[in-house]
Amino acid sequence: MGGVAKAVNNREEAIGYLVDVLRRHRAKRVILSNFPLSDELGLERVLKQTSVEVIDEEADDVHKAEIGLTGVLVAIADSGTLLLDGEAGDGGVASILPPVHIAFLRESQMRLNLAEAFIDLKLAFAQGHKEFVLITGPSRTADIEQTLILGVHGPKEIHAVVLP
Amino acid sequence: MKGRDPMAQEIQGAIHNANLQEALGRVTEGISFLRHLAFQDFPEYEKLRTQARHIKEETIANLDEYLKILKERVEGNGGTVYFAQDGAQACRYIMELAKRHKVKRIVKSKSMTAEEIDLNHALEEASLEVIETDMGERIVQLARERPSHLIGPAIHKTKEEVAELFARWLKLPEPPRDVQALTHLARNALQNAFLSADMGITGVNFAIAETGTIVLVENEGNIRLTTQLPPIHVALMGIEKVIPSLDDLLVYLALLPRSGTGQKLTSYISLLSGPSGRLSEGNREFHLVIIDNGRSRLRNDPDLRETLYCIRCGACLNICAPYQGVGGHVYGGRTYMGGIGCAWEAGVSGLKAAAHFNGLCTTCARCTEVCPVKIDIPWLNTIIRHKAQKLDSRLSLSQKLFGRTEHLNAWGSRLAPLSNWWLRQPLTRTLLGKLFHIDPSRALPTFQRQTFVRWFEKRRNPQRLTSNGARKVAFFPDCFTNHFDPEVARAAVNVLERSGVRVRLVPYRCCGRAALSQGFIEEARKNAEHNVSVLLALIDEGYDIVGVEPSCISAVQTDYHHLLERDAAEKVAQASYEIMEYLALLRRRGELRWNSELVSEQQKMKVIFHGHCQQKATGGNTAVIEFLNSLPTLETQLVEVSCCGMAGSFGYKREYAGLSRHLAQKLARKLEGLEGRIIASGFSCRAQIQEATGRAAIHPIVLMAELLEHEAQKVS
Repeated sequence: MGGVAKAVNNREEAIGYLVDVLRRHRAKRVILSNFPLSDELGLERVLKQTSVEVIDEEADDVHKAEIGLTGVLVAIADSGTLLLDGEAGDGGVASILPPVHIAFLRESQMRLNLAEAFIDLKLAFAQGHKEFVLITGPSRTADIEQTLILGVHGPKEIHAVVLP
Repeated sequence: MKGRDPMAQEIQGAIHNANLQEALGRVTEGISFLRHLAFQDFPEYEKLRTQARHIKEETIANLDEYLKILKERVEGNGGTVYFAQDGAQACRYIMELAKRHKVKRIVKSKSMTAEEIDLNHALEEASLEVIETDMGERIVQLARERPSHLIGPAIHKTKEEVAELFARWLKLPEPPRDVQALTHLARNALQNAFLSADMGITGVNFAIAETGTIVLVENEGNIRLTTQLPPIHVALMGIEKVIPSLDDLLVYLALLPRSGTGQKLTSYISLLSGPSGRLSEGNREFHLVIIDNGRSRLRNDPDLRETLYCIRCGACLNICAPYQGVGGHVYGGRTYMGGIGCAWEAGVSGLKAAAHFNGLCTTCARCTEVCPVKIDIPWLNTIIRHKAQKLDSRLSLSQKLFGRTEHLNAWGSRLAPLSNWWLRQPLTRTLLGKLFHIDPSRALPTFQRQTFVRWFEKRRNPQRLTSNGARKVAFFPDCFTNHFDPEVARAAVNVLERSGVRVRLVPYRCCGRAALSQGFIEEARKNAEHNVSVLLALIDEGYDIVGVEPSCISAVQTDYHHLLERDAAEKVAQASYEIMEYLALLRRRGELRWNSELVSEQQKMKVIFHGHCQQKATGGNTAVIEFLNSLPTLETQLVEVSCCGMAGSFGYKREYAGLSRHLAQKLARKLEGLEGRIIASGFSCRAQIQEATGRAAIHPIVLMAELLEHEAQKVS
């Protein structure tokens, strides 16, 4: 769908991939959502080590972030879709405001199709979670002469880093 | 010309606007094709659209209950719900909310409902700055125009025009001309707007009652930003947008993106329950404004109720020939466009607003193939035409003539060739133009003195006596064929009898199609009642019903459901076939022998098949193509257009003749490089093809009769 799905074997490879993307974009600021996998991977420490500033969602300069990092509730294989759960810290702004979005997930979070993902969605609703977004590929428009342009308001680049 | 119809002038303007024509072609045909691909390997389609329809039927029937649940749940999620009777109330609520929070700048995402109530205008009057953030909608806003397509609001603008508009907006002396750079410019400018806005206003695609969740479907991401950045989010929806549960959403998500843009899913689908966004709790608000604004009027009218099932995918517009020809500014009302838009306008703006562009619906029914909730849009337009007759007496002469051709035809044939001579006289044509709005430059069909019925009753054909097959056909000789083109019906009888089928006539009345096309529902019903009582008796005697004109057969197959008691209509529909559909059925049942014996000696005969719209809509066309492809002697090519543009009387009317010819040219261009004989089942399609290309077009059954005749001569 215009995004990159990167399967990695372990934490080190995941971090390596993240650092590569940060370097390639010469990123100085990121929005880091508060998702469980982030703690497990120690993303905050990694960012500190690479001297990347973490910007708070509520901050006035939130738009200066070059990259947004989030987790997912589940990912959907047949449409290449990420289902993000706002309450689980997947961040409403991290996935839409910066020009690059990187999502981290485990293989166990992969679902075959939308119907299967809806089982997880319903469970999350039952737990009182209230805001979600399905993301399928980068932001796009064809409003001017039907020319397809990626990254119109949201990210032009999406990466899904899949851990075992 | 004095007193020239304003609609005719608007149509001329659109047809001669080269930019518009190019954009319309790209969007409508382009998206239609993508939609086609999206559903190609999607066997669940029929099941899902039946489900999607049922959900809407049930929800709209119990609307108050679901709206009550929705309100409770949204409030439970920390949001506020406001019910507005009309647009003025909704606008006032939003303005007062803005005033209370000292709002200065509002970012807005595309919402047809906001267009409908003129929300921007009201907010700007109150000195609020409103910035549209959808790329196309922003362009339209800068140009101070209205959207011309449901999902592509600015399709009528060229990139040069967009560059001019952006230059003025951003005060640039030298704007870029390339689309990438233009989009980037707008992205940066709009990002500032998102960050500094005090309020975000969006529409709603679906509102889930059980969870109190609104669902927003988009590709650009501007809706996400509109909901996530400003402290206040106002979502505006019509009462019809509520659906009961998350499971129901799954059904619509399978249909809406595929139907709208040919995507499996759009880039972003937000599910928001109550306040959301980047600010912490307590610093953000969510308001759901639910408006009626004429929707209850639609809901309380059993004939127009299904309008409310619309999920606004736009598939019906993309496939619609008149829409492809003129776009939504001409074929549209204040807010809504196309055939479905006419029904929407009848609800929200009133019958008069709807009647203004109702005539552009040819009732060809191509839209019914693609509607994901199976709305019978041509029927809605027939109903509106019927209701509008009480408004305007000026059109009634023309409508009366085209709606009641039955008796005229009888006299025309009786008086032929005198009637034909008289109809060709310039004075007559001027008169017909003035009184009945018949375009003087259109060739009128020629009355045949010996009608088909006369021929059938008088003939002494030994075959009739010797055919002793098990199959019996009651032949339904429609008015067009009977009076203007009896050869086609003779060919059908000939082929049926050679296939071992016994044929008798149906003591018929006009099927009612002509009356329906002008909105004369009661007259159509009378004819339908007569026909159905006769047909039911024949069906009980073991007869299958067969005719040659798809318009008329499809009236029997589909429209009678609206006019008569359902079971009777269904029984008749099940036993009725257009002749080629019938041959296809006989072949499938192994009851046809000659089809595989027709083998050409040297090379296959090339034919080009132009399908009939209403036959495509009933699904009958697929069977016809299958049958043609099964004949070893033919090499059949298909020519695909939305509609030839004649559509019965449509192309003969002065107001629409120009558009009709414009659509015929599209077909003519597609036929240009194709070799072979043109076959087309529709009487008016053949007239249109002949005029537009100068090439003859024949009914496929005439070709079948020829092939059989040729075969018989070979044997003897």
